[in-house]
Amino acid sequence: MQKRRMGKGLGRGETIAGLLFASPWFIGFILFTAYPILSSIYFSFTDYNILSDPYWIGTENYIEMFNWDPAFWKSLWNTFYYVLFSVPLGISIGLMIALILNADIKSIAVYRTMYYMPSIVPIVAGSILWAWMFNPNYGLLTLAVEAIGLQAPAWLGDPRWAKPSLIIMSLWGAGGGMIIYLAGLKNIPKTYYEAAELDGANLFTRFRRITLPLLTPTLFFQLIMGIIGSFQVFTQAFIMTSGGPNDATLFYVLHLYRNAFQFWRMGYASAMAWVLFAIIMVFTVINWVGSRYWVHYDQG
Amino acid sequence: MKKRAGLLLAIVALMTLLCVVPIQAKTQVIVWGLNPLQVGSGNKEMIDAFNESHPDIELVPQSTPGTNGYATQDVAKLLAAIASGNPPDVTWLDRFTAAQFASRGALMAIDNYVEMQGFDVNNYYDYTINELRFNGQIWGLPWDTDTRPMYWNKEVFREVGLDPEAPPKTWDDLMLYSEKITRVDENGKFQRIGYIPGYGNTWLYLYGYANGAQFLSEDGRTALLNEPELVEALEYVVSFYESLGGTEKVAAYQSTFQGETNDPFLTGQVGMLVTVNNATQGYARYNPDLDYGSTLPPAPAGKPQTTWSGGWSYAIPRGAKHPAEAFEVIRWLTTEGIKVKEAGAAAYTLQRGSQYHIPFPAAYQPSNDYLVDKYVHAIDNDVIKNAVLGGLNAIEHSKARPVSPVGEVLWVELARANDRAIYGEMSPKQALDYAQRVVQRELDKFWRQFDREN
Repeated sequence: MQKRRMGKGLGRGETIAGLLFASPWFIGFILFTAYPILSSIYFSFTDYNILSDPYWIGTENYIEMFNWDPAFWKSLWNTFYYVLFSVPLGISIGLMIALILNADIKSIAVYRTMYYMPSIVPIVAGSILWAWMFNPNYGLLTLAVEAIGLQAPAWLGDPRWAKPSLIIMSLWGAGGGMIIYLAGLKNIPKTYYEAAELDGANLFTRFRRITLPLLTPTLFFQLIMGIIGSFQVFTQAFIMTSGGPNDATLFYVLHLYRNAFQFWRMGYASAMAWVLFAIIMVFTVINWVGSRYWVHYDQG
Repeated sequence: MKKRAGLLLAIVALMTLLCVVPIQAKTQVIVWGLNPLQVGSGNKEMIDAFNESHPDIELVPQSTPGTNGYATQDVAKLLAAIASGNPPDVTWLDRFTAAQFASRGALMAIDNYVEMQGFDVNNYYDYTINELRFNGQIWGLPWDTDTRPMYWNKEVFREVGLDPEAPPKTWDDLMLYSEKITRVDENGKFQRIGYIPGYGNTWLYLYGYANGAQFLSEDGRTALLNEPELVEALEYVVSFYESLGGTEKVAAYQSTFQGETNDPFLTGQVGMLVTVNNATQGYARYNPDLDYGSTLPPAPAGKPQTTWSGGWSYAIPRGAKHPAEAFEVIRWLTTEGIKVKEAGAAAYTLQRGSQYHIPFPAAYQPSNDYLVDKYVHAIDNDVIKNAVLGGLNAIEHSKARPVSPVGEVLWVELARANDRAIYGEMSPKQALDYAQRVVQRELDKFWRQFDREN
């Protein structure tokens, strides 16, 4: 219906002009996104060092990944660990901040800006900043831990603490989710709360019975985007730890990057990329199926 | 599609050139990895001197965005430039990766130019030029060489009753001396450590070479990572950490180390260390009165003391537009240029208020002799002079990393094996078995392709 109306409304010349105006994007997409993605399928079945022509080796890269590369498994484990903690923590903290900043108080916009700011700091700058936060001598975190009388760990220098450290760092960006939750919260009609209040529902019940259910579509979106993003965690480890100590922060994409650009095993790296794609796909599908049981779209 | 993208890029590049560069008679040689803006480096002086002395060639240092301005250590950029057929004429290259580049046809062999000019490459220190040989050809010219001597703090030696003029020569002595120097407070926290195997710049290459390990067979086709010599070396490293109370404990202490004035060697937090020779620049600047010495790192009893070196080079990528002129650039930079650069750097050192300028050793022997005469022998502080000479002396006993088309894999897997062993995840033998398996497989893959194509 809609489509037909648009077709009638636009003359032939207009359609062509429109497509022409959009063509830089189409050309860019085909040349720099679609084409590389499609060729990486082919490369994943080849031995390809970037400089010579790719050489067909069938599924050898995939076999090597599962049977010959212990670092692959370690990187997968590290990444799962990171996703498992950073995503739920990020969502709950983002939500918490949003609930607090949903209040009607003076100059609320200033507070919101303050919490949102970290999520627009470029990740490279953020990583360098956080390397200082984790400094075992004068890092703010170290001093904070010591102020309450505990001994601070060596953070990024200790294989047991390196991953938790990067997870803590990821929570710094929780303000990015906050904005989205705030939008979701604003969408909940005030009348629901008023009615509940009249029925004698307390703050917790109102949150549990009104806010949370009506926020589930937003939470669902954040969950899926969070998982997709966290599986691709790279920059922090690349800049702050280079995967160490003892491969404790060797994340999947860092291992992939090294194979591609340090070892020049572009075929293998392409295969790794497709395996990661499959993993993320599986998680997204599971989420999608599971969402039926907890996501409510009955708002409008 | 690739060609079309290349064409597009070429057109854009051409247009940019037409807009920016007026037509010139001089041949422009584009150089990556040489930053004229680096304060106190002498790079600008060197570039200017080249352009003044060469009426027909202009050396053009070019920024490579996203890589800290001029560095090409981000090899991704260089790889892409070479693969797309639009590389610089000259690139700065970490020498141990040269074989990896050369073996994939990413570089131009310079043998023709060497012959044509009658240029004697034997004037470069052997291991520096040998690191650039692969498949019977030369793929670049070496720029500098570091060495890894052992430094020991004589004041600390005196304090614990060790002879300050007799540094440890054997692995056993090293551990013994270290135990004597190490101090722990009442809570069991380190106040001072004699020696930390992984602190400074050591890597498994240091301990492996000291124990006679080879890492790679002569023909470069077989990895020798789980041979007894290397396993023993790693066992020594692990036992050293155990004697100190475990890697975690040492790492926690190490993570409190600071730099510059508070360098742990200057503060006496570490009594002995093996690190690259340019550490003396910092020591001379931040504590010119420190009483210390430098010598070759210890070896197992009965084996010759040795060390290892790395360094950089200038190479000509495949597809360079002006290879003949590029060769003149790299020849001049590595022979004459390095002297001009050091003069510029020295002027800056003095202007900054430091007393001593310590040059970085050149790979080209006559230039290095010149630098040593001019700068090192001029140092009026015997302690510093001898420490610098100790580092230079190590050149004679030094080895380079094995030349291998899979040099990066080898490097990473050795570091990985080391970590796995010192953190107790695996036994040294097990960790090296793993490394052997991964590296050998990579070697097999490389040589399979190499043999197919040649």
